[in-house]
Amino acid sequence: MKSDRNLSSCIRIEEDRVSRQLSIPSRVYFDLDLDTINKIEQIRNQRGSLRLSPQQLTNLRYYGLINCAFVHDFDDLEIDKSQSALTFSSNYFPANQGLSTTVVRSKIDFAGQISQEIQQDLWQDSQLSSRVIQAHHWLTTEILKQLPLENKSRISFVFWGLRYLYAIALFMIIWYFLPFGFFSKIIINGIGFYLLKISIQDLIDRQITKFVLYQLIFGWLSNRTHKRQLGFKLLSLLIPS
Amino acid sequence: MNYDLWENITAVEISTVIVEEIVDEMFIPWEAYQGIYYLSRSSLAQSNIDLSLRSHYWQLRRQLELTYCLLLIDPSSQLYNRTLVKEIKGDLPVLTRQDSEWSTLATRLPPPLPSSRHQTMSAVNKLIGDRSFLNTLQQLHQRKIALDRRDRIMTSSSIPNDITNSTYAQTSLQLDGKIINRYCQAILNRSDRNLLLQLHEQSTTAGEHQWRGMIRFMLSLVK
Repeated sequence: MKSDRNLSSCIRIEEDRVSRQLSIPSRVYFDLDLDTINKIEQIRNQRGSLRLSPQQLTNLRYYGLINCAFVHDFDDLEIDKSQSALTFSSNYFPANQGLSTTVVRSKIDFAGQISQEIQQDLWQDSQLSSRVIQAHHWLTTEILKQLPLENKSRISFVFWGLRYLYAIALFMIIWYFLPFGFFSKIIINGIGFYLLKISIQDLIDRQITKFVLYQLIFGWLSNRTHKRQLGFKLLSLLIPS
Repeated sequence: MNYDLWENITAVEISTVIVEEIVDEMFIPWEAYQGIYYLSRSSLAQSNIDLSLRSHYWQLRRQLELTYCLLLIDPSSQLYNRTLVKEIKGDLPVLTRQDSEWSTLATRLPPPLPSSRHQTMSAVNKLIGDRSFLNTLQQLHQRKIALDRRDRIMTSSSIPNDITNSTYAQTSLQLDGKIINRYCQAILNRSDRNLLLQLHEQSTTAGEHQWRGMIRFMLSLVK
């Protein structure tokens, strides 16, 4: 798979400073010129993919998170569909002048309303417009393809392994220490496993997920890229691999 | 946490628009509120807004009033006011009708600016701080922007087949498998018709992929 690390430098995440310590990503721009478009076309022709640095991916995920989740308080963390939308805009820099204009914008709404806007002057130049638009869509699609959290970490084997050890220990305790018959022990073990499964899923996983999401949006994980990275890492560990 | 993510999503709708200029949209709740609050029959009559659109503007004002009244009588809302429930329930049949009779009712919405020395901004601030109200306000604001745009085209456009600033093609991919395409009539007579259709086709394919990516990302966060 071919990719070009330099290419991702055309992705610019604009941030709004909301307090002295905290700035939140508010807009994503692609700065395109002919050179960048040529590179994109080359990678597309070779069916390559866009390579993002871990920091860039974190900040793009953070942009997604901030613009999607709507949080009331810790107990009621929910996604507000009508307020959730991501916007990606492309600026084009003509070769002979430094001034750029926004020429394409995609607004993707969680509720399924997608709007693609093309600026009139770009449309007049039919050859250039088709190249710019394709580059814009390719970048947007590549980014969105890479946003979902995946559990690739080896630590998670340990993490999930510990849970199985916990389950086996419970099984042995019930089997050896309870003074019941064979069938009663099987039934009690079945109930025990079921309760353990529910408690891990409901109480532990959901509470940790909620806690990390809350810290990412409001708390101590929100204000630096490396802390945000840690937050997403923790969330991905909770996904069964 | 909210697990019914799919509720109310029945279709993915992709629109393609050629615009004069791409500018960042800003939603400032107070400005949006006062923009709709002050719509009245007399203000519309005095304005230059195209006659065919006036009733649409007028409906925005009715919907704003109706939204507020529904929140006032909803016990789970923070704006709930028990003393008004009976009175509002009497008014609802009039407010839900689209004719103009509702304008005879006195407005319950707080004025955007305090009209006397004793009034404060707190009523307006409480109102625009309410999430349900804000959601509706944002939708009404979007509709008003679309109407403003349409009005500008109707009053200024002398170029035949001009499609600038309004959606020229829209594809709706419904969950039940139906696909609906809508096209603006003006594109049919344009020389670049095929290019426009090709562009919309690209938008649709890309838009659908992009939306899926966004959904997968959200699901990976909340599982």
